[in-house]
Amino acid sequence: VEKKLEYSVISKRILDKIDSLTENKSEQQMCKKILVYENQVHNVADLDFKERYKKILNDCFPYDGKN
Amino acid sequence: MTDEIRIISIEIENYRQYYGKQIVEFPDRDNGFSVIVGDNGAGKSNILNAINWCFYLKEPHKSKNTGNYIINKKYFEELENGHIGMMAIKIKLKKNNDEYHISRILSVVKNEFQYEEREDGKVLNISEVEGYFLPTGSEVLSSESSFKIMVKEKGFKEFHPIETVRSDTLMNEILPALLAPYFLLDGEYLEKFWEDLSRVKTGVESISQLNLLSTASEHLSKMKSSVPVIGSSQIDRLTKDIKNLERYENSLDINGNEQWSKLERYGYDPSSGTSEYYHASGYPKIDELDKDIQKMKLRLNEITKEFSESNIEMVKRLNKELQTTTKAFDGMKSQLEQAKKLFIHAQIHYGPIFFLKNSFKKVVDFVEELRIKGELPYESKMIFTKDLLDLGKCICHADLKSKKDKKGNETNESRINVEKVRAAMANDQGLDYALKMVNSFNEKILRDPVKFITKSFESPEKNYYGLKKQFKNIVADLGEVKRKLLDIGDTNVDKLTEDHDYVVNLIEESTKTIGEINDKIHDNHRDIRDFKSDRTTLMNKDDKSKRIAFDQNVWENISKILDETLNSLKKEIRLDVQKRTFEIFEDTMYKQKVWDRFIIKENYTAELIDNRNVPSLGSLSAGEKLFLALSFISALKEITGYRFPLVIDTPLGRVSGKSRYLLSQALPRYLPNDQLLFLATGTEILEPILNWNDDPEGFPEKSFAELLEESVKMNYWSLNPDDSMTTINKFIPKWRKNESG
Repeated sequence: VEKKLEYSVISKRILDKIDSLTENKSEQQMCKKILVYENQVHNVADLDFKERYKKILNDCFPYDGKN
Repeated sequence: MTDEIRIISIEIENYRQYYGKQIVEFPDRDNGFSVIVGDNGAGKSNILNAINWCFYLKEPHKSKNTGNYIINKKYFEELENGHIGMMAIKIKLKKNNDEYHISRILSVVKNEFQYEEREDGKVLNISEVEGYFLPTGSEVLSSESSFKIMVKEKGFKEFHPIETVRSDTLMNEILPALLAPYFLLDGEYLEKFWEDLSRVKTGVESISQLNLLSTASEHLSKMKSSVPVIGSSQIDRLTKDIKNLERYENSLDINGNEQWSKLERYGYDPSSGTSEYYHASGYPKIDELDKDIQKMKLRLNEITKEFSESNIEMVKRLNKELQTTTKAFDGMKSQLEQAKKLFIHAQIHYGPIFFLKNSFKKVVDFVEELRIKGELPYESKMIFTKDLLDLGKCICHADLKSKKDKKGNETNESRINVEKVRAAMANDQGLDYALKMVNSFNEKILRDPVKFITKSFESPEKNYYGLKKQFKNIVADLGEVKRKLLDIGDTNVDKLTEDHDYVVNLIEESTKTIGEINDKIHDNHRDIRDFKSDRTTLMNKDDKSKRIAFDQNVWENISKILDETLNSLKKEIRLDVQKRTFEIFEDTMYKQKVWDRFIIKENYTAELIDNRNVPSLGSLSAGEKLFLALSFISALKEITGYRFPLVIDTPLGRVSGKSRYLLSQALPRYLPNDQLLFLATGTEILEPILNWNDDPEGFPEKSFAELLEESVKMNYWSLNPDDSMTTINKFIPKWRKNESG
């Protein structure tokens, strides 16, 4: 269910604009994941976003030491 | 984002007026709009509250429930002490192809009611228990107060709960709480929509989700600045410099705490003990100044309005009143003098006549006696002798013909005698005078003494005292107007002028400050970019800091993409909404092409400009304001593709007949696929529209619902209140019953 809810909750206009600004699939995915997260937690106080952001970064741009 | 959201049904159980379980199942859009009709106090607003409470744990129309508690009174009174009472709202929602069951239940233990003895009888004590107003002594069972969302995906038969860490955050993915004011509406809110311009910003940014980009941008800034100490003096120095510059942008001190200036924000009243200060620098300060400039502009509008209603207008009005009253005073004064003269004259002139009434009667009787005896009046005697002489014959048959001698002297003795008698009568007119007097006495008083008294004394007296009373009132009015003019002075005008100049100066100063901060931020960005580039070069040479450089690079790139997305969409969507709002509004307004354009500025202030190039948002009628707000919401729905349901409470409260007609024509066109639920009174929606104002030719005498039925199907429910237990029932309006016979 969580997977299904993901990008569909974000405005198509925003998704299209992101796609038009970068062709890098990882960047596109990361931007969208951040927005899905922000949509889920907006108006919710005291959430530590940093951990979630770092997780999104690691998912989209796994570091192999060579980059 | 979703394409379509629709409320399938609402189940209300023991909530406020609703006793037991009440269910309303709404048709899909193909089967039209829905209306729940109820009198004031029957529970319309509480349907809006029920939806809000179920979704977001809020009751925005709570003020209407003052003195009542949230669980149905009858149900709770019937419950035995020590037992658990349950109140629930369950809403079925369809979002695209999926169905959601959203439910919230409140469980409360009832304990013995406590009453307060008052002069007018005993009153139940109600107090706040864990956020709910309940009879004092009740206990909320938090563990049993539940919020649950179940989903049935397309192709599945069963509902299953959505597993998430926080179920309340899930509602944001279905219908975000921030959007509630744009789909759960009431007429009063729509009418006052334009009084708070932040609604435009929230509307544009929230419905099109630009707010998510803004928050993401803020969070990414924090990620970009969280670079730890590396141990390399060069890298760490650059990081320190970057952080210093970034701190300016976010108004933070060296420890990361918010920095404040000593400059007090606009609009805070020191006498009330509340004051707020501006941030020291950067975006927070710009944001605050922007918001305060909006407040200042609203204040300027108020000042302009106050000016028009101020002393100047008041003095003008009072002067006009003084002029009118003085004119009335002068007119009345001469009328009163005239009436007084008549009154005195009547007493002097008619008084003696009244007192001599009996003498007059005696004279009349005496003359009448003479007349009966054969006494002829002078005139008759003269005619009679003339006739005898002309005829030449007396009534005693004596010859009266003229016989003259050569000298011309009369020789007929009989004739000479008659001529002598006539000559002797020449001045004897006594009886004639007496008869005239008799006539006069009869006319004046004797024929109708009551009329004489009324005309001579009562009428002048009544007229005089009536005018005297009116005159007294005018003198009092005149005194009051003069007193008001003396009292009014010019204080308000002076104060308003002073306030006006102060606000204008403050707007200039604030705008200048924003410009200065923006310049500084621009310079900082250039320096930060250079420092970061140098730092990345150094980091990539160091194995220990390579990973940090890698992460920083990703944050930078993502931040750049999202910032660009935000900036370009902000402008695009704002201009699209601006254009579409005006198109819908103009079309809705039928033939009235009196407006030239609708503007949403970069800072989200909105204005409607008329054909004379004059801003006219403030002077729109209640109906026009409501239309513009609905046009704005319709435009947002179209442009963002976010088709949420609209629930509008008391939509037509202050809307004129003509506007109701126009709205009935426009709504089906602008909500072709969207769910619409009205919560309305019968007068609003079922009674024929009467107050057409001055307009046009031949509008039909139909109700708002009948007019809607011309282009869309309508479904009706009624709220039937009866002793703390409102029930909801489907019904068919009377015109449909008539049609079906």
